[in-house]
Amino acid sequence: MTQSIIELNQVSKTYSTERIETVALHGVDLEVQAGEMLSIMGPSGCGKSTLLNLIGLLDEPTEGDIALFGETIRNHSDKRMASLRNDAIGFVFQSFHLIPDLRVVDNVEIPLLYRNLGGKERRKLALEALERVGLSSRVNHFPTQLSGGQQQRVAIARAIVGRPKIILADEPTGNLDSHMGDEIMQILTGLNADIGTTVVMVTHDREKAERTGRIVRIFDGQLVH
Amino acid sequence: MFKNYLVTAYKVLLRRKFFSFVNLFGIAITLAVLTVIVTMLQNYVKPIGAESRSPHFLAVRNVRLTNEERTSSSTWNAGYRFLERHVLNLETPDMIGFYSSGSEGTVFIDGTKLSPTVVRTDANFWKILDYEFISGRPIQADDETEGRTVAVLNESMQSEIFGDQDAVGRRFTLNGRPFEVVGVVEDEPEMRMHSSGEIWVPHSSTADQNYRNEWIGGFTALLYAEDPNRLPIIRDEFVDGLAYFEYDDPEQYQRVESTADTKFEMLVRDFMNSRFEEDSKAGLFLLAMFGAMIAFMFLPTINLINLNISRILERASEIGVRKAFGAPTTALVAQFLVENLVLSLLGGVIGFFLGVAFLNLIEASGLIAYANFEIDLVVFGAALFMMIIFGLISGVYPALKMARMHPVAALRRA
Repeated sequence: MTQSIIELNQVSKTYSTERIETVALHGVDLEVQAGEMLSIMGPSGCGKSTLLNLIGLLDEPTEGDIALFGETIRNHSDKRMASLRNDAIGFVFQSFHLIPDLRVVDNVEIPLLYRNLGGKERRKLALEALERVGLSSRVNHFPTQLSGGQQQRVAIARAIVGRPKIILADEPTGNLDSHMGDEIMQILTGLNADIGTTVVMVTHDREKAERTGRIVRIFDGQLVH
Repeated sequence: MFKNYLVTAYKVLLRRKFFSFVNLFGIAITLAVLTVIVTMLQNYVKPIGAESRSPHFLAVRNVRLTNEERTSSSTWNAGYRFLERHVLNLETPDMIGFYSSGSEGTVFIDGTKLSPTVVRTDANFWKILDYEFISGRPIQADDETEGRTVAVLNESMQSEIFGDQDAVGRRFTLNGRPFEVVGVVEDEPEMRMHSSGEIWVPHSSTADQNYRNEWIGGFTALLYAEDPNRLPIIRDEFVDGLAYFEYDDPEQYQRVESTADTKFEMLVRDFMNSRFEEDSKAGLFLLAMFGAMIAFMFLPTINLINLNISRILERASEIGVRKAFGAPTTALVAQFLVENLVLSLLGGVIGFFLGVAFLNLIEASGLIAYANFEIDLVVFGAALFMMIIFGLISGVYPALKMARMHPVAALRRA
């Protein structure tokens, strides 16, 4: 039996303001096995991104438990959470979120800054990651000098540079045309197939979703089976 | 890691050039003004030039005579009679010298009138102060006792009166009387309270000897001790002696008030209007100065805090990304503090050089005659310290606020 790398048990998330409570997720159970690639689909506002943020430890559930690698995440300090994210997870965002002041290679190095690594080692790993996404010739460019597809490839290089076990991609092709979107999908499926990185991807796009091993659908904050 | 902070700091500085300029300008001007003020005060007070032995003496300058009811009084600098009765007879000082406040003299050179500042001194004055002689000798005891018309000039006055030649042994006419130059000293800045002047003559060289009967005149006495720790004893003896005051006409004045002060205390008394009070209020003065500096630094600090906070929104994406990829709050706080320190130090360095430039301008302008400001390491260190405090104060709050931002909120806002 393969080990479940991500485990959600009756997870709910409610956003409260003074007047109203919005239930974003309600009683979600989900298990993701190591080396799996799955898509989360559903209409806008159904809670897909909330789910991804919870898995990525960017947010905490109102109720229920989340476990990564069998370890239940509860009452962890800021430092411990940061270190878990740094070790285990790589994020790819719809709008890339590259830092415009930093060169491509410096953007890719960001996750390594928070590890105990020397400058040369960081540079070496960043160049390797950029090579993997086919951007070796753009290392000294600034993000604004690149096309959208290239920027997303930089973002993927940043996500994989720390060799995380899990990549969480929030609509990674949402801002790209279909050709560039295909390229990104190829890189993600390649990572999954070649080095067994677990990939959890949120998408609107049925065709892209069908290229992953499993599709999970959400509607109104609940999983639809 | 640190290098990365610096690179980001540099990039952030370039990103919004106008904001950065406003920030740097505020910091630079503030520190420039502080540097100028501190340097000027320090040059006033510190023992340099001819006043290098100032930690070894107290000065008696202001004297006030009053009747018992204090309804009538006479106030100015010490007169010669006051010196004779209450100063020159003190037993605790190792040496006592005195000099008059500078008065405007008249010298004609080829039909052009010069108005040099003339100071009358005794012989001990030259032993207590440490003038740098270019040639000749100081005023000596026999010059004083015999009332010789001899003079010491400063370098600038020598060249004004005698051109390039050595003036020692030569004569010139001062206030219509012939004087012989016996010595030439280096110029002393006008702001040195005891040593500034252009021509020095024996106090006894005046045609009119009536000053010897005056209680209130233009003199300042210097009470010198080899061991500076003995200055409080000297002060006590002087103050105690004031109780035995007897005026020529006992009906007119019954009391005398005066103080024996260090250079710093003299400066403070002028500022704090505490001329005859027992306490010079030096502590209060320092506190007030410190408070004023803090207040003065407060404005650009607030400005910087405000600008920094407004940049949070601009950098939300960066904060979100760094957090998502594992930056702990402490690392982000450190990053923002480094950015702020870089900005403050840069502003500080610009400010320091602006201050130096401004001081040079004051020197060159002749606003303060013979001004020669020395910026020493203490001032530099103080300025550096101020810059760092500045950077920290203006950086901590925004840094905490930025770093505590929730990663999801930060990413969503971008």
